[in-house]
Amino acid sequence: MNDALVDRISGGLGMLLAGSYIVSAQGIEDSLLADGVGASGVPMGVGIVLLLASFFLFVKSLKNKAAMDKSPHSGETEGPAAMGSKHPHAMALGLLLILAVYVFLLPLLGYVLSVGILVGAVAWFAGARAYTSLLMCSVLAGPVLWLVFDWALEIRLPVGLWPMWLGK
Amino acid sequence: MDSFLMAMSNLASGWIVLSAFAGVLWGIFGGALPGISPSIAMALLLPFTVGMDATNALVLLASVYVGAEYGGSIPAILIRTPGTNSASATVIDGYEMAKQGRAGEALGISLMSGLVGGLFGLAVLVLCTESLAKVALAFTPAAYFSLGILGLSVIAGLSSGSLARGLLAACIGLMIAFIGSDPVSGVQRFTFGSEDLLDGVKPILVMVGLFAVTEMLVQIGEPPWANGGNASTKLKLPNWAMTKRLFKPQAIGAVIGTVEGVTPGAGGTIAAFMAYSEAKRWSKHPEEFGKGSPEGVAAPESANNVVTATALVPLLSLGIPGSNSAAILLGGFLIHGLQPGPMLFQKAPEVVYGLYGGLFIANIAMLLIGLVILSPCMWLVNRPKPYLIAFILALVMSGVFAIHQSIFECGLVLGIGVLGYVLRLLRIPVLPLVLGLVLGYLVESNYRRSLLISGGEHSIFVTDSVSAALLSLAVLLSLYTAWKEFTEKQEAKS
Repeated sequence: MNDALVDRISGGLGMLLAGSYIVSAQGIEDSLLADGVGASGVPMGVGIVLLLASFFLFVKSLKNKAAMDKSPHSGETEGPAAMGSKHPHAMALGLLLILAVYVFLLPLLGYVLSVGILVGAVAWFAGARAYTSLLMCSVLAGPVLWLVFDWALEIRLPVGLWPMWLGK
Repeated sequence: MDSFLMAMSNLASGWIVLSAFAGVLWGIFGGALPGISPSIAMALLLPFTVGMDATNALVLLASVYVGAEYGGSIPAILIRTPGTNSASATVIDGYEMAKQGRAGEALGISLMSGLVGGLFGLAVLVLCTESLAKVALAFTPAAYFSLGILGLSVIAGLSSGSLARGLLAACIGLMIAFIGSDPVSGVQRFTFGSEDLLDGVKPILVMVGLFAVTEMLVQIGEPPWANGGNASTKLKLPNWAMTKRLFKPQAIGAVIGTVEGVTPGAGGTIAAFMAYSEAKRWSKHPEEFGKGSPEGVAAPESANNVVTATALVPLLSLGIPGSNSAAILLGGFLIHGLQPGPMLFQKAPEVVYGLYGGLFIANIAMLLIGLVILSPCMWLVNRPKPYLIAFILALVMSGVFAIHQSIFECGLVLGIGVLGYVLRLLRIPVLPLVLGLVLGYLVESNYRRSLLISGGEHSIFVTDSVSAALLSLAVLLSLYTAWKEFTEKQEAKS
């Protein structure tokens, strides 16, 4: 993405965010203990600064676009991309979905099993195809991290619904 | 002298020694992993510090910073991949030395220069922080407000060339800071009816999401890290002749690192590159730079390790985090109910002096651990990327859950990770956001308290002498940044 497009998207999203934030700030009820500024005063000010900064970015992007359109080099690409995934955003989305599934499974399956699934799924998704190593990492990750957190640091981790399922 | 003796007395504490060694060890591992910055390495440990004694917790976090800044130079030298941003300048001559079969020598120079820089920075920290804090003891709410504004004024310097983008990020940080109870009246704001947001969003969650989760979302689509192959990891410390030769570049690095570290927002990366450039300018052998010059390794490594201590000067004395890592350390202070700034030296002097003593041990630990840890570090750095990402994420998500045993917070961190990813796509700098987040409460609460004291008169901010001085400094800093940016643009045009 060129600078003008990035600025336009940033400015547009910023203005949208600022608008909804200002509306939301106006809806804050003031308490009887409120001072002259009130609970909504400073947030309103921040919303206005955001609106101005976003508007500036948006206008700047329009000026830059006009300049780029006139430039004889405006059609040039930025050069070859690094040899990573062809779809980095899709990969990021996929990773995010795996993490979301982990958050969903954590209270159901408990920590050890969920972390094992997380490690195995993420490593596989990131390209690990040595299935013996993958299996070993998945099986060992949960107990090892459980030992670190629960046993060594005494932080209680979720056991899931296993006690209920096993009738305990 | 008293502070020095008090700092030294902390050396006898076994827990502080343990925290310093553990922190440095973790920091070196974290710093040696490409994609894991010192702040991420610190953020990963932040949840574990919740139940710890405040001094031990802060020594642990500061030691991670010390270790990570050194650790970043290991992959920079061996596989041309800087483990941290500030190790980027070390790549130039460090990797050239490695290619010539002098990797052990380069690693030795990096280790000793890091030690020299770290100890010099610590001396500056011990000597300057307390005096700055004494000056600041007369702070009123108006002065604290102006201090917050001074902190926010460095946004321009952190905005990567676009003040509007920096302001946008800072506003998002302030918006996150305003979630939860209003500091004066207690009215709930921006909680969307969620009980989980009544206490606001903890800075630690934002930092872990913005740094660690975002980095992994980016890394999953990037190419595999380069393999170090058969690079030698046998360490060779500089002999006396080399030590004498390295004195000048190390001194240059120390001076530049001090100036950059004390200035909020400057940071180790700029210091390292400036030190490299100046060391070349003042060297008797400038022609060797870029072809495996030992001085080209010593100057940036000295500079970025000085910054690990001097970046704490504005944090401890004024409560302003001048870097990502200092912001994480600020999070460590806040977790333990401590507010860095002028009153810290009165309210919790044992924590401050404990931190000084801990930093001294951390630098010694860096030397000792550095001597034995290189091979395991290399082994880790060369692990396949898929497993590395998987274990980092497992550790991050486990750490987040460990804070409050909250599933909601795990989801929140993922959401913040997505926010960080979008900000990176839009090239919006993250540091102003962190600055807004950590300064939001300070600015708003003291602004409103000042107005309550003055009966609504805004003139209190200029009639209070400390407040007026800080506001003037904020204006001057902003004008200087604007002038610098303008002249640089003019030079680029010409």
